[in-house]
Amino acid sequence: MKKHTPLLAQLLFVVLCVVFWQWYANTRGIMGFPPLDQIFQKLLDCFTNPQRQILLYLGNSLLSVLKGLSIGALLALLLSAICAVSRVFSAVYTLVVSVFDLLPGVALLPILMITVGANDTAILILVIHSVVWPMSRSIMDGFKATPAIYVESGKNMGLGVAGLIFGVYVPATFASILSGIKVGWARAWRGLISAEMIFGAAQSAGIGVFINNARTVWIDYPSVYAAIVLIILVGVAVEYGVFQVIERHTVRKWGMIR
Amino acid sequence: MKELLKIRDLTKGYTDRSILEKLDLTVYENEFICILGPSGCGKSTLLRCIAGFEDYTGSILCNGKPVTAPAPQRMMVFQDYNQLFPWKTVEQNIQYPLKVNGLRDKEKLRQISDEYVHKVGLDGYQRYYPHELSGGMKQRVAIAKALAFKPELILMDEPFAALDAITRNSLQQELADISANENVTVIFITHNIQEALTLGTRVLLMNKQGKIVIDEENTIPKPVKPSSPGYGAMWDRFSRGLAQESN
Repeated sequence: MKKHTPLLAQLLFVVLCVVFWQWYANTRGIMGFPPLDQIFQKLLDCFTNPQRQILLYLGNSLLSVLKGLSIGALLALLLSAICAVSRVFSAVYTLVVSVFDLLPGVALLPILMITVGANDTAILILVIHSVVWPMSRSIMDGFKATPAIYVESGKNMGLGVAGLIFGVYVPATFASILSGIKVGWARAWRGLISAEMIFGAAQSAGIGVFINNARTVWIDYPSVYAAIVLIILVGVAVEYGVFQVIERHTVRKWGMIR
Repeated sequence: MKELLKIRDLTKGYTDRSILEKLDLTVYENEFICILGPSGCGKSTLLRCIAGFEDYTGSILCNGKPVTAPAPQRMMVFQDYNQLFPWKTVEQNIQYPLKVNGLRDKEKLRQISDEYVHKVGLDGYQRYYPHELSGGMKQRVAIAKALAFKPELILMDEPFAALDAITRNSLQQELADISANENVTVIFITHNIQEALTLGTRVLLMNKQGKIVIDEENTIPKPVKPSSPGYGAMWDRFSRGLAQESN
């Protein structure tokens, strides 16, 4: 297989999908299945049309995710760090993580709605919920797999508990932490959009609200697709523009992953 | 000579067997002590007790203070190549123990790391990450890291055991030269007699019961070569002792 064969295959696949889509949409003319040119026209329109302002919705969503992701990641790091030094805490926390990691955030929505109300706080809690458990799992696994020689070397240099955690355990497990953040991000992003669609109107309307409005208020399916395309683009941008860049400048540079 | 390390009645065992029994050893400043012994005789355990990694009964005093936990004043050089932090460059690895213990002056840190990088022959490799270095180079960095801190005592646990013969010989020679010119006290574990005679100012042999059975000053003039006067006789004594203990 030549070097470019996989890339060509992917490209060919995408082209075939596009052609099929366009042909199907044009011949059948179903409302929920608009042709691609309409979708892209709509996408451009949503950028410029003051009534739609899709970027504002997207910005709100990204802000929520960013807030939740940062708090969730810090919490996960803190709680996992306590696990590294306390056996009792570790036993309890492992149980908590296994229980809550299995619970989809959206299932908690009804409870959040009556306890904290249908507002941004509920969304934030939901995002934190989807980040903190999978990240804790990754970090704890990473801590357990930290080579003993790094820890002994650190103790030998005179590092205390905090020094060992931030000077040895965290960099030694950075690959796991990063993969934890990736899983957390994916879950948070999905959880957030689901919640927004169910909630409808939180204080700051996100991209999920946009999709819901397009479906129910504006009855405009090309807009629904435009939002979906945007969500995909954000995902790709985060993967290649954020995670891969961080990876290249850290664990890959350090020779810790190939 | 000033007493640096004083070990009395050191006993260490696990539930099913004892490893060290009532071991006594006194180490003086600027000595380079090589400890020989058959595999499993407790050489490494002795070193780990001195480093503060193990519980023990008896007493270990370093500069008069009892050893209870690891401390940078007893700096360890491990056998494993992977003792360097992969996320730090060569110079950052060398500087880190100094930084952890309060030296913040960047210029001073740079100057120290450059000096020791030069001493171990790695000029130009300051910005390399450990994964970009060979096994021998990594061990050189680990030695530079220990020397740069200027600890009271450097503990080396077979640092050259996993290297090929040629690299091993050149590192031995370099370490011999460096230690002759620096004020360092070293305890060096090995099971290679040639290595012990090349490096040590004093050579010990431990038996399988964890006792010191030979304790001899190394009077062979430096640099030590197999053709040096006294080498053959000393090599014979340790070789016989080792053979006896291995049976």
